[in-house]
Amino acid sequence: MNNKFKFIFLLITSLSMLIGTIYVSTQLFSLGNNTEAIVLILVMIVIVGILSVFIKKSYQDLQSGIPSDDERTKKVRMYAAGYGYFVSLYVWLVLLAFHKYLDSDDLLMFGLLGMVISFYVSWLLLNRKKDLA
Amino acid sequence: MKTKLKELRARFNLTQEQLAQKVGVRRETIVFLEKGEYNPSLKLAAKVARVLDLTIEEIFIFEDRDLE
Repeated sequence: MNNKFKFIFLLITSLSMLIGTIYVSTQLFSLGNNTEAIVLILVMIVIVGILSVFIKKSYQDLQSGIPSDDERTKKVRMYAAGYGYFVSLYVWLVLLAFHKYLDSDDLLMFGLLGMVISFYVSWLLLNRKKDLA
Repeated sequence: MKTKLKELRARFNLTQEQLAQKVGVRRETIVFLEKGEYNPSLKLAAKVARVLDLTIEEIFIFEDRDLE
């Protein structure tokens, strides 16, 4: 994925998520589901916050002409995906254990959020790791 | 792994940014390579060696314990 395409993709994704969140939360507020709307907004703030880090980095790379991916970044991403997947299995197990207290929409939302966070945390830790094999 | 990359880069009057551009990697990768905190692939090592017009062995030094 080249720099320009990556930047545009991230920007469009973030904007779509923001617009979608605003639309759905307004609908929820109008139906009186205030708690769900607030949870949705908070979840989107976390996701868009994470995406904004990548957008900023991608924009800086685009300006300076630095390749967005190289051997090391690809390796870090691959390892992070592996660790993220492993951690997210446990996230899903925990969520399934508490499935009586959550409805299916919340379960799915927390599960996906858990997957995103576990990947991002793994990526952050591995990006600073020495001696990445 | 030990490396002489930092001294060699200085000898060629290259900044980390310039070397990164010539090799086609991100600057952070050069930083990690210089600190000996990242083992490059054979392809990356060869690219660095080609840019500096040296052999891989002159830049990256693998000790016995690195190869165990």
